Amino acid sequence: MEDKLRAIVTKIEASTLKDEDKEELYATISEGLQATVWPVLLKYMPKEQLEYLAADPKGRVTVESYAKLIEDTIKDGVALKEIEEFMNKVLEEVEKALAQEGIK
Amino acid sequence: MAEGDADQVKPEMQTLSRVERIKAEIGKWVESQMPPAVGERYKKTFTVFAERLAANRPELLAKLQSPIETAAKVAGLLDPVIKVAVGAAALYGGVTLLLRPDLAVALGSSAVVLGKNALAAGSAAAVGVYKFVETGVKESGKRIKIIFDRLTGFPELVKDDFAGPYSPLDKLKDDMIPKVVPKLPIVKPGNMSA
Repeated sequence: MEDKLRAIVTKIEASTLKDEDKEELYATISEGLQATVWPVLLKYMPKEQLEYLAADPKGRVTVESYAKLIEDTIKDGVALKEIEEFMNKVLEEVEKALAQEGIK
Repeated sequence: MAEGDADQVKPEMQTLSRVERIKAEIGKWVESQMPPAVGERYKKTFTVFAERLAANRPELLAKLQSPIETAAKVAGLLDPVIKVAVGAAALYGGVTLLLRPDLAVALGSSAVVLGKNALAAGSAAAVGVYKFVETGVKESGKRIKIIFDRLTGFPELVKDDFAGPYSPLDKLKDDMIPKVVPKLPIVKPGNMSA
């Protein structure tokens, strides 16, 4: 993933786009990467914990309960792996979109 | 193909600028693959949490250290240098990971390229800390090497930015430890319950 991202940034930097356009693209890429995270995390969140918290957020969501929810979600590494796979796909789409505009 | 020799532009995109077209393509794909999965109910859960944290940040920082301290005790990792390194990583990276796992994961990667080294190091360190906690609890005998491997080895993401003799651990020490040391509780061998 790092190599892909680096290659994309190199292409964008080498392009004739204006600096503000480059920044806009970086922001878009960043948003695209971020968008992959919550859906996957939600998929792997322990359902009972999530339901319990969601049923009464004000009363039940604490630093500890939230931290436990996130920790339990990522502790076996499966969610993080899936997130990485999605991020790779996002970057592939970015490459395609850039190529369509002649930034190769 | 040289830059500017774009593939044929779709008719519906012809009125957009080049950057807008790229953004539209990326956005369209992300939306199709990743529909909004955080329903209102869950969103509220996270909003409540975020508000609570914003109102009580010191409490979070104090409590974040607790599970790491516990794991360190279990693993017998009482060396103050290690405690400080873990504390620093937890403070910088753990907060990011817990508050915004989306940002921690995504920016941990993209920030390195975009030059935001501190954030990248923090995010990488956060994952390193979790790896350490897990490893520390399971393999208490290996201790020091493991934690240093985790803390200095995991930030593969930032190695180019810290290439040379100035290691990620040096960065942690120089930038973060001065901010963290005063906040760390002192735990000494024989005082495991501290």
